[in-house]
Amino acid sequence: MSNPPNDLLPDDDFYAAFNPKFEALQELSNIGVGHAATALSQLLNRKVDMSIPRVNFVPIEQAPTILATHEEEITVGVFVRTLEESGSQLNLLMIIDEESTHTLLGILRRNEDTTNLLDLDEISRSILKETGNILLLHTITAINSFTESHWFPNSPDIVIDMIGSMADEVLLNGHEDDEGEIKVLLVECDVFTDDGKKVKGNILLLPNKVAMDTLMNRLYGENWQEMM
Amino acid sequence: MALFTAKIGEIVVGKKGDQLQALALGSCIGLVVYDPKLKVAALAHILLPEKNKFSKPGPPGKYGTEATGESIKTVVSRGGLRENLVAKIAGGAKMFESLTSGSNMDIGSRNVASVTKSLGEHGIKILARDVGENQGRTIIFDINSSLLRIKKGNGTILKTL
Repeated sequence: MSNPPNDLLPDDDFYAAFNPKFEALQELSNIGVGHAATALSQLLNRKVDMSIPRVNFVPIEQAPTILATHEEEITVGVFVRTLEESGSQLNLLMIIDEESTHTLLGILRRNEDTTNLLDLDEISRSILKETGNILLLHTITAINSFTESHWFPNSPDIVIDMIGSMADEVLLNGHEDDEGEIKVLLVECDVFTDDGKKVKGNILLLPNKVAMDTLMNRLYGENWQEMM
Repeated sequence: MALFTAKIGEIVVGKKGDQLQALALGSCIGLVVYDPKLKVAALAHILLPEKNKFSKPGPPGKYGTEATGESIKTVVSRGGLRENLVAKIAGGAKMFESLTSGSNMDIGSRNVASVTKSLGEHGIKILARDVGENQGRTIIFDINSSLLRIKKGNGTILKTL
């Protein structure tokens, strides 16, 4: 039997998709982001869809280019840090691109605001921050109740800047003491409305190692490592 | 005449006529070590202040504690003179307020401190700096003029150092 040519061999992503660890996270974010999508639907009074979550485990150096095609793209980032006892940390980041931000503000402020993102006024910034916060809190509440956990959210932060400049700080948080190469787990899911105008939000779940272990313990029991 | 981009952890080097850039620095630091007379420069894109006890050797520009030494070596190997070398730094912002709660200093400030200390230990003078605050920076160093341009995300030039 001859070996298949190299380009037919499954790549790392292929295995990642079937890794039970990743499957659990995918399911978890499905539940979490599903609740966020419902909340957005009520807030905007529109039909809202979501995509199947994508799971990526990547070296931190590569993460900014996975999140956006270009490091210098200006995006809105809403960040909520959630903590449990003993160093377990599950951070949440929502990224909204420029076009979606304008659409969202158009719906919520009832007039189209096409100001450059860097020059948005306090009211628009506040609307974006609270919208992001509502969606992320729905996400973490759903995850807490599904896994019987108690991740407690801090107050939200909003940053409007180049995606590359927000990624390093957020992704490093909770990973500085990792062994070897720093790899971050990105669970991404798109939330978008279906009303002609697209609002797309990308929600990232960023568990640190302790949180990852906690999640697996609660989903698969104490002996989960033997199952992997 | 070329434009070289330092990705996270990398050091790029150029000579007369070249430009060096680092895109979208947040808490990261862009460190330029250069010989203004012979027109040789290196730019490091630094991610972290120092290694932790588990770290394996990373790319040469990843840690503040190592990037200075590596940059000096790189510039000298390309014909720069050790005694001519000076530096400019930019970056080390604190983008998210909530990441600085508690006793730990934010990663940006720690990066600045680490790079400043390391340059001092190597006896390299910092001629200009644009660090801290809460905004992202793209930096471009022009080797001919030794000028460091700092840009905001929308392309406007914040300042030239």
